[in-house]
Amino acid sequence: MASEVSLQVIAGGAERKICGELVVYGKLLSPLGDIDASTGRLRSGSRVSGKIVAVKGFTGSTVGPYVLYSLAKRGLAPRALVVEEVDVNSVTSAVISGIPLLKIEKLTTLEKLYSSGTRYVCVENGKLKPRGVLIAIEGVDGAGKTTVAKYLLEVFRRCGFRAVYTYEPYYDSTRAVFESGAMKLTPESEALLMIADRYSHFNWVVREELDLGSVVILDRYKHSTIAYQGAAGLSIDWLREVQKYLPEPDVGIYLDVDPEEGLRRKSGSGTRALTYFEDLERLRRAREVYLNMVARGELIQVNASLELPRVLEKVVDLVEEKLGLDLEKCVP
Amino acid sequence: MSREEERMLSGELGEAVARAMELLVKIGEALGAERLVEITHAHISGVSYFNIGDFGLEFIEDMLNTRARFSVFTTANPHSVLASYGGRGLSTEVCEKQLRIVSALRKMGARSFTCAPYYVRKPSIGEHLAWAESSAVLYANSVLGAVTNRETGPTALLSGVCGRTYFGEAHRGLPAEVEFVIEVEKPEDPSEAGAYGLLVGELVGRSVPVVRGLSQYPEYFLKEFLAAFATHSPAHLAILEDVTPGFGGVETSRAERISLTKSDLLKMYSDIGSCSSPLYLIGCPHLSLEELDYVLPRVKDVKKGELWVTIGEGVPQHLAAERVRGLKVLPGSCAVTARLDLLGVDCVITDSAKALVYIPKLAGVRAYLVRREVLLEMVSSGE
Repeated sequence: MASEVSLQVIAGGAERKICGELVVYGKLLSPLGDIDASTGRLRSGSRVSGKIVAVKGFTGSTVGPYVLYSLAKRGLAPRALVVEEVDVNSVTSAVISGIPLLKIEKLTTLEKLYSSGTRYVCVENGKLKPRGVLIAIEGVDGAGKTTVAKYLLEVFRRCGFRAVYTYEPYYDSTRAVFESGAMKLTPESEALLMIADRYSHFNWVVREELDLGSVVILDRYKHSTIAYQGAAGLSIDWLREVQKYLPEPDVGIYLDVDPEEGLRRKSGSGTRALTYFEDLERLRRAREVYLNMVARGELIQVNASLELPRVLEKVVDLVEEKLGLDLEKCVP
Repeated sequence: MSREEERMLSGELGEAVARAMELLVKIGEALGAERLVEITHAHISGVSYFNIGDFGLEFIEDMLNTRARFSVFTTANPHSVLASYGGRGLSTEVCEKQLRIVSALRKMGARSFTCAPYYVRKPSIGEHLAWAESSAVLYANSVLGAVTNRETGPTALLSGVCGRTYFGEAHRGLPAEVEFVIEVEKPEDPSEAGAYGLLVGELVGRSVPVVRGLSQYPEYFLKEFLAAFATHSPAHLAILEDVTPGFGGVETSRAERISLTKSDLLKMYSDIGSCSSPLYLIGCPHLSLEELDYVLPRVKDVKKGELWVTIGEGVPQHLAAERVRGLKVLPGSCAVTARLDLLGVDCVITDSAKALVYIPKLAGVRAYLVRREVLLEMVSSGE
C-alpha cells in the first residue's frame, strides 16, 4: 500500500481534492529569482504551472508574492503549494494568488516519495496520497494500440514515473477457454468471460499498481467489450451495466482508423482471407459504437490513419493536457 | 471581529475594502493571528520597478482599478533613482513603468515616498502600524516604541486600504526574555553603527537581542544600526538598552553575553580597489534634516564620479538645492534598488552598511564602506 503523507492546511482552497504532478524543490524558493514567470518554469527546468509544488519554504522579500499573483492571473499558477516552513511570504503569496497552501512536517518525506517514482499525487482532507493514473488505449484491430501504448510507457519511464503496460484478456486460462473450444461460447458467454477476466485483472493487478502511484497503460479496456460485443448484437446498456464496478480511465484514447485500413495493416500478420468481409462488417459496427463513446465524452478520438510519428505526438499532447503533465522533454 | 470589520468584509464600504479585508483575514489566519488590529499608519515597500517588475506594477494597478484608496495615513518606499549618472540614464521604458507605480500609489493616497517614514510622521509609543520597509520596522519598534509586524509589500498595501493588519507577534509587546545581550564598543560615526548592525544581525539570527552601548548616540546612528541589523536578521525588533521604551522589563539574566569591539569592524572597511567611475552614496536609509544640514555644506566640489544624497520626498527645497557639479540630492529616490550597472557605475562608496550588502546583490556593482567623514573628504579630493 502506498504511503500517505499528513499535511496541515494553512490557507484556502485545500478542502477540495486537488490532483496533479508533484514537483519537489528541496531548497528555499525565491520566486523572483527561481521562477521564470513568462513560462511558469523553475530555473532548474520543471514547470510549476498546474503542479503540486513542494518547497522547503520561501525566501526573498516583497516581490515573491507578486510573481505568484502574476502567474495566477495568467493561468500558470501551481495547483497547490506545500512548504515545510510557513512564513509571511509563502502565506501572502498563496492568499493573494488564490493558491492552496499546505504545511508538511518534513520535506524529505516527499523527496523520498518522488525518488521512488511517484509523480502524480492527490491532496484531500489534509492528506497527500500517491495517485495512480489509468490510461486506456482503444481501437479496432490494426489501429496501432500496442505501438502507442508501449511508446507512452517509454515516455513515462523516461520522465521517472513508475509506469506499467498491461493488456486484456490477461489470464492465460481465459485465452485457453477461447482457443480450446472446450466451452461452447455464445456472444453473451464470450462477453461475460472477457468481463470476468477484466474484473480479476483490475482487482489483483491494476489496482495494486494504481495504489502504488503507477501509471497503468491498458491495451484495451472495458470499451473494447462494449464495442465488439455490442457490434455482435448484444445490448450496449447491458454491457455497460455488468461493467459498472470498473472505474473510468483518467484518459481513454480511441485510435480511429477506417476498418479496411486496419485489416490491411493486420493482414501482414496473418488474418484469414475467408473471413475478410465478415470481419470488415463487424469492425464497421464496432467503430460506430466507439464513435458513439467518443460523442459521449468517454473516449477521446485520435486520427490513427496519420503517419505514426504524428499519431504518437498527438497522443502525448493529449495525455499531457488531460493530466496537466509535462512530458515533451521525455519523448524519445 | 468588530461590527465595523464585519461591515467592511461584507462589502458595505466597497469592493476594494472587502477584498483587502478578505485577504488580510486569510493571511492572519494562516499565520495563526487570533484577530486583526487597527493601525494608524501603513508604509508600503516594493516600490522600485527593479524590485517588483511588471508583476508588482500589475498588482498595484489592479488595486487602483478596483478603486482602492488608503483609509489611514500611508507612505511608501522610495522609487528607484531615475537620475542619470555621468549623463547616462535608464531606459525610457523603465522610467515610464517606475512612474506608473508611483502614480498608482499616489492616486490611492500615498503621502510621501521615503524609506524613513518616521521623519514624515513620527508615531508615538504604543501606536499600531503596518510598515513593510525592514529598516523602518526596526526603527519603529526599537526606537519609537510603536508596534508593527515586518509586513510584506502586499500586506502593507492591503493594510493601508482597510486600516487593519493581523495581530502578529510584534503587537503583543516586547518579549519577556531574550537569548542574547550584545554590547558594542562606541561607534564613531553612523557607518560604524551600521557595521555593528550587520554583525549583530548575523549573530542572533531570528532571535530578538538586547543591545547595549548605543544609548548616548544621535538617532541617525540608531537608524544605521537597525537598518543593517535588519538586512541579516528577520527579527522585527532589537531591544536597545536605555532607548527602547519598556526595555527594563525584559529578562536578561540567562542570556548569552557577547561583546563586539571596533576591531570586529575592520574587515568591513576593505581597501578600495581601482574605481574609475565611483558613485559616492549617502542616504541609505534616507537622511534626516539634521544630517542633510551637516552633509551639504561640506560638499564644495565633486572631483570624480558623482555624489548622490537620497532623502525623503517633501524635504524643504532650499536644502535640497544642487549647487555643486556632480552632487545630486534625490528626494523620494533609492539608489540601492536601482540597477547602477546600467548607468555605468563601476563601484559605490558609501557610509551605509545596509547599502554595502544590497548593492552588489541588486546591481552587481562593487561596494565599499567608509566613514561619513572619510567619504566627504574623498569626494572633495577625488582619491
